[in-house]
Amino acid sequence: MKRIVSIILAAMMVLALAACGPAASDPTQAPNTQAPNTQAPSTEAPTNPTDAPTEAPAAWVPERDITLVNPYEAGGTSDIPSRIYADYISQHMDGRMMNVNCIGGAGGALGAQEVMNSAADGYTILVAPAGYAMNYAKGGLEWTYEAFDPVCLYVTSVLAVAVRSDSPYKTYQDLVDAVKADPGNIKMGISTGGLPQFSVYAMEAHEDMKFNTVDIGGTSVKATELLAGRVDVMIDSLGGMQSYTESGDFRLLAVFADSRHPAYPDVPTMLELGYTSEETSVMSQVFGIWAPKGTPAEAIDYIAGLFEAAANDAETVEKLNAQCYTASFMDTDEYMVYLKDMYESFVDFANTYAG
Amino acid sequence: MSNFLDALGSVMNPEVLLLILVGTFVGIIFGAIPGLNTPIAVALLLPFSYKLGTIPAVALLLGVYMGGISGGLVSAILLRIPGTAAAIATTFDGYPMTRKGLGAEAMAIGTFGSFIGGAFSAIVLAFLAAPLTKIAIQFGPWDYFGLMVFALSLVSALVGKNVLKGYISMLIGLFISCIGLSSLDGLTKRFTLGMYQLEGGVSMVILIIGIYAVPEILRAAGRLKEDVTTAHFEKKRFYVPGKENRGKKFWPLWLQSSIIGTFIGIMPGLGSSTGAMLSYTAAQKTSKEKEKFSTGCAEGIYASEVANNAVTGGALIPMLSLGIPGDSVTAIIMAALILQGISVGPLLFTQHPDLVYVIVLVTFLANLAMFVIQSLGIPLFARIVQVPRYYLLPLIVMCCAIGCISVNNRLFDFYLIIVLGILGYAMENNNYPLPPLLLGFILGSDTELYLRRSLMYYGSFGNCMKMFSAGTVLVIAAVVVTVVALAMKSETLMSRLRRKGSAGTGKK
Repeated sequence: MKRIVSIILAAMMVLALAACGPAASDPTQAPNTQAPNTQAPSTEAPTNPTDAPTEAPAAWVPERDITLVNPYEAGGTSDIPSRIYADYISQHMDGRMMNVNCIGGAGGALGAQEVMNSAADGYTILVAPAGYAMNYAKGGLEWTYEAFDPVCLYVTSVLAVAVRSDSPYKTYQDLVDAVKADPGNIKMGISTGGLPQFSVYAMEAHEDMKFNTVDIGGTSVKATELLAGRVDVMIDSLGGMQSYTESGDFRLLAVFADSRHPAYPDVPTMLELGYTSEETSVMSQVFGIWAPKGTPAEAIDYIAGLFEAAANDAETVEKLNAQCYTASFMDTDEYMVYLKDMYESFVDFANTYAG
Repeated sequence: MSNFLDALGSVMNPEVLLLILVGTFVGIIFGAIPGLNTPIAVALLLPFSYKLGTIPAVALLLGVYMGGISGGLVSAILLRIPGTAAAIATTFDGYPMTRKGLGAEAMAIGTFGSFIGGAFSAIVLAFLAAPLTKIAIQFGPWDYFGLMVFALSLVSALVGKNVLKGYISMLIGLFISCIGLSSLDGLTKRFTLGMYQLEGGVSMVILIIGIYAVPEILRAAGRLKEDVTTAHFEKKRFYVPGKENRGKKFWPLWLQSSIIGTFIGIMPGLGSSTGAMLSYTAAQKTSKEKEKFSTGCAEGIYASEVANNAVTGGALIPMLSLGIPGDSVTAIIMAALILQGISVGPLLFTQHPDLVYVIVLVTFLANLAMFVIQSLGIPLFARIVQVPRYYLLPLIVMCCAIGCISVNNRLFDFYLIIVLGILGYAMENNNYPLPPLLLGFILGSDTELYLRRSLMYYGSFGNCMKMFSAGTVLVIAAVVVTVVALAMKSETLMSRLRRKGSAGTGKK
């Protein structure tokens, strides 16, 4: 009797798992079944090129969920806007969802590597921060945007210099004077491999001063270091520091933007502080979407369309603004031009200032 | 007080209560199946939570969190395969109890322990969040480095019978954690052998399946016939630990394990597996009956399970009061709150005091739900060991395969599991304890990160050691533990050799 019961139980478990099986193995099968489909147009294209455009527009509708890889920690500067977008997009994606997957580590290189190595079928895309261009310019990364198929630019954010409220540095000039008086000893906290690293180079080159630059990790954990006073000053995006400025823990000394931020009308911009627009051009935080190289053009158009719709949605814009982000959209062609300029200006900048 | 009543009002509503139950249930299932874990479950449910509104979303996600941490005990106790990293220390005493035919009792103890730990940490979260936050932010990179090195040396020295082998095992774990792109700057590829799949490093799920599940399957396959465990357990509807396994004499242990767990939870990055292992070693050190540990005693299960659930409440403290998540699950929960328009951070307690109370209440209720669901499930779970192994093993292999495919959707991980499995089998058969390896792996990259940060902050290792700080004290303590442990070990070796030598000469 017991034996029979146990056999039945085992059988039930097998069935239960078999039911799970296809669901779990689906994603692995799908790329295989997908592969011939995606290759078909490219092999056909040379033979009868006139056919391709007529078939293409209607061709691509997602058959399963799309994974948006955020190459930094959950809850950080790149994670929040991505999730706000993904939330809107999931409701407008022909019944499928866009899921944000955080693969953090190695200054964002790990997540990029993951996407680079995944199937170019439109189901895995990457959140690409300006930090990649910076890391390339200073020799940290071997690849550029050319290793991917850029899709669009979708959100921008503003960096700012912050100190603790009880800090002796009341203005940006106070900070500069202090660093000049004590070179190499004022601790500047940044996330290695992120955009703020270049901002520090720009500041040091412009003012002819030297910080003790230290790594304080991703956005969601770095504020502790300034809160506890282990660093004297830090650079991060406004969104990441907003709650600490509101609570009165942090004071902002400057924002890296062309005009003053509506939420902080009293904080001067770097332009006002005597920096040239060339110097500040490498300091604006932009996020784009990149797909693996070889992703079908129809899929890229489809995804870019989703982001454009989200960037024009009033509720999404409101959510982004509440977290100090701006919904700036650029389509694929515009973005390609932008990326080319951006990489050039970063490389120029690295040659001129960072040595 | 009115805030508390408001919160109570919004939690005591059928939708919220149902979501707590559903979340906890899903969490237990994901926790119990080796290869699936809590971060996967939370990430899967996150998109659904957007639609729910703040309080129901919190209820669902916290339910998964609490259930997931505890659910890992089922496979840890019954199969000696930890369902999640948090349950590694539960295998030490849980599985020996199953071998004695006390699997159901062991699960009842673990479930009850989880509830105590979770409830304790919810209370700490309610009353001590603000002062504890102040302490937590005083811990800098050097202190974290010290804490991690101390945890590594303590666990290596105390888990397992042979101290030297414990340390070797820990060092292998540290080595595995080095594989992939370097953690701070991503500039160097290490030990990838030219395989791009290794650039992201070895994932935790793959390592646990490889090191624990594969050797267990190999071993069991070697003794198919003789080893059908006959777990004769009392037929009961609802399992609570027997009289001898609860009551006054456990109070000090519960308190100690809860405090260790909550404290480790407050420290971002250490995680529930570290909490449980430290608590286990502490319980072993403070116990009057040290020899009972690892033979299947209630104390060992309590030490691990109380602590790993106590980590949850602790990990919520820095998330709520500073916006700094304590582990990977709280990071995702924090993102969910931000998307609901709640800015987590220093202002949360003044802007949304009612929400803080809601979170405290949900944490408590989710632990209660976990206790009830898991206790009801024990008779069902316990039958797993009655299933003949020639049915059970293919099932486990299948679970593991699903788990490993779910991580990255690639076959490479399956080969990796086999390689790690052979390593695990060889190590266990030669009496190298596996927990230090796992801890070395879990803490490895953070230990490196914090050391590199400390060096950036203070210039040199000498400057760090010159400071009078918790980090310095802990680094020295770690060195002392290592030296003493290894010295004691060599002394027993020496005395054994001497005895052998004298016995040998005596014979002659």
